Amino acid sequence: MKLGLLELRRKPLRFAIAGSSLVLLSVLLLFLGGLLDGLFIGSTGLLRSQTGELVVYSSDAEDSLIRSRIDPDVRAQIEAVDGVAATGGLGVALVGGEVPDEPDLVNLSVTAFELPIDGMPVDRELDADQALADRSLEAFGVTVGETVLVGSGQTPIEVVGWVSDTNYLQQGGFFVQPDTWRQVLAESRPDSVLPSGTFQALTVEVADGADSAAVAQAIDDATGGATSTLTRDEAVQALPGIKEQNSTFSAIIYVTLFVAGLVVALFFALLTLERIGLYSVLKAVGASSRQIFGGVVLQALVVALLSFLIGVVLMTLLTLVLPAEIPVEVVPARGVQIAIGLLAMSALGAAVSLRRVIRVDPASAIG
Amino acid sequence: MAALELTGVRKTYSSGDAEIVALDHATLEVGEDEILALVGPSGSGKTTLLSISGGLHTPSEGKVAVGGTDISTYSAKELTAFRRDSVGFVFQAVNLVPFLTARENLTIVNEFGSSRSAKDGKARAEKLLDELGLSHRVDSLPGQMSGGERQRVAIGRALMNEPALVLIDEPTSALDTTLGEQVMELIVSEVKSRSTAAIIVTHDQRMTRYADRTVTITDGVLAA
Repeated sequence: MKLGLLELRRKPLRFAIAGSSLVLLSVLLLFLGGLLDGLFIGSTGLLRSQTGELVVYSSDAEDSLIRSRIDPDVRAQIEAVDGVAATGGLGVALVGGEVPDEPDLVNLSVTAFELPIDGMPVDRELDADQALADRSLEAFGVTVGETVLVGSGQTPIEVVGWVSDTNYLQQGGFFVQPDTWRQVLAESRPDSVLPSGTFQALTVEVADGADSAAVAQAIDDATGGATSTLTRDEAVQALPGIKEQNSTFSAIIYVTLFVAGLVVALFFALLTLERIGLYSVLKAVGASSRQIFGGVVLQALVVALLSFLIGVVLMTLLTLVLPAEIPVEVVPARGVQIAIGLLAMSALGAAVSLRRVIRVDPASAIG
Repeated sequence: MAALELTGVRKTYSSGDAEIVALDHATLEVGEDEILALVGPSGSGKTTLLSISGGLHTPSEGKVAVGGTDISTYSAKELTAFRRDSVGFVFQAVNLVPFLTARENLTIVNEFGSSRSAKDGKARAEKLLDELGLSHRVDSLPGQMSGGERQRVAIGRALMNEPALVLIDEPTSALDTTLGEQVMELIVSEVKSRSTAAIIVTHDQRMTRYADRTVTITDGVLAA
């Protein structure tokens, strides 16, 4: 083992090709992971930031917020269900907004809400012309105190505070009173105008001690099948494109990890071929195949780990220069997942050399 | 007790349908502090005898005992431990680990085993290198040393595990006569001072004078 580390320290250039390849693959993996997380975070923040444990859609909407309608009668049925502590209306209008002195329209997810959302300033009562904006909109010129002209009707709405991680389908969260949302919807989407009291969905706070799944079922039973009630996580997964996005990016990440394993396997197979003479001498003086193989695996792990760390630094620098339109989010848990995957594939790649190490004949040291 | 005892040792290899006899019923005894020179032409079986004596190969027939222990039937794992603990090798091509210093090339033998502490190994390596006149080369890499110095480090490595038997393959083949004689004198001095047995394989008849006894091998057959 120590022998492997000493070789790495004294002959680092010998590992430069494998290391460089793994650095590039690490950056690629981190970028793909960051893109996956950025897309997920940017699409699902609205639902993840809800404090209610359940989301209720009309059953004919097939779990789509935009298509769903919950009228006051249905809401009354839901509120009467045992285990429902509180309900809050939820509605979204995806529109553009004009920010003063900014040439481009900014994409907004104008959201009506009744129950508080995570990270919302305490006791913040919004007036009809006020909004809480997602902090990601700062990158598009939005500031607190700024008045944004929202939607086709150019409704002037002043930003009075920030919330975080509330975006919906890559559009910046913009939280307003229900009446303001209805006005924006009427001006920008005349075909989607909703009567007063009707929302696209309801969020439901479940009473202490009640089982969320049982309450969800009870809600759908109480409405006679007029609703489809999902937990918050289920609602997130039901958003359009989320599952496909996850599976597509995950597949690309797994393929890239496989390629990393192949790079390590190829490199260490060549290195082992080159070292057969050395290994025969080491075996002749008493090294076991296990000790030699352990050194090879250790070298692969150290090269992979150092390459990953360099990749993290490069990725961090890359995120500083990436335009805000590219939704890359570096999430520590993803980094850990990629690091573990890279180390595991490197160890497996190095394991390809096991057979060759075992077959090295110590007698060849003396010809 | 003999340091090495070969009794009726035979080693054969298959080559297609043919059987090649590399060592033919060899019987040999090397005393505890005896230095034996093994001479013979290329392909005569010198290396095979050395390999079997050092646990690098197992015999096809016969018995091999080193320090009184029969190693003929040892498994590969047992032979690895045997080589690590009981024999020392000096290879023709020196074969030092190129990225290790002189001291590390010695202590690595210690590190393959688990019985000796790293501190003891380091002290022993430095003492050996000092005896071999290499105290100034302790931290040098093989690439920074002369051929003679590398050969001396290889001798130190062979003695590192305090072996009962040292097997030395053509120690002077890459050295000029003067340097070769110096190396042989050093080998004799180090081996004798430890009452260790040694087999020296050599082509060079002039080097046999350093041995207590010379044995010739021809076509796998030993002749005193």
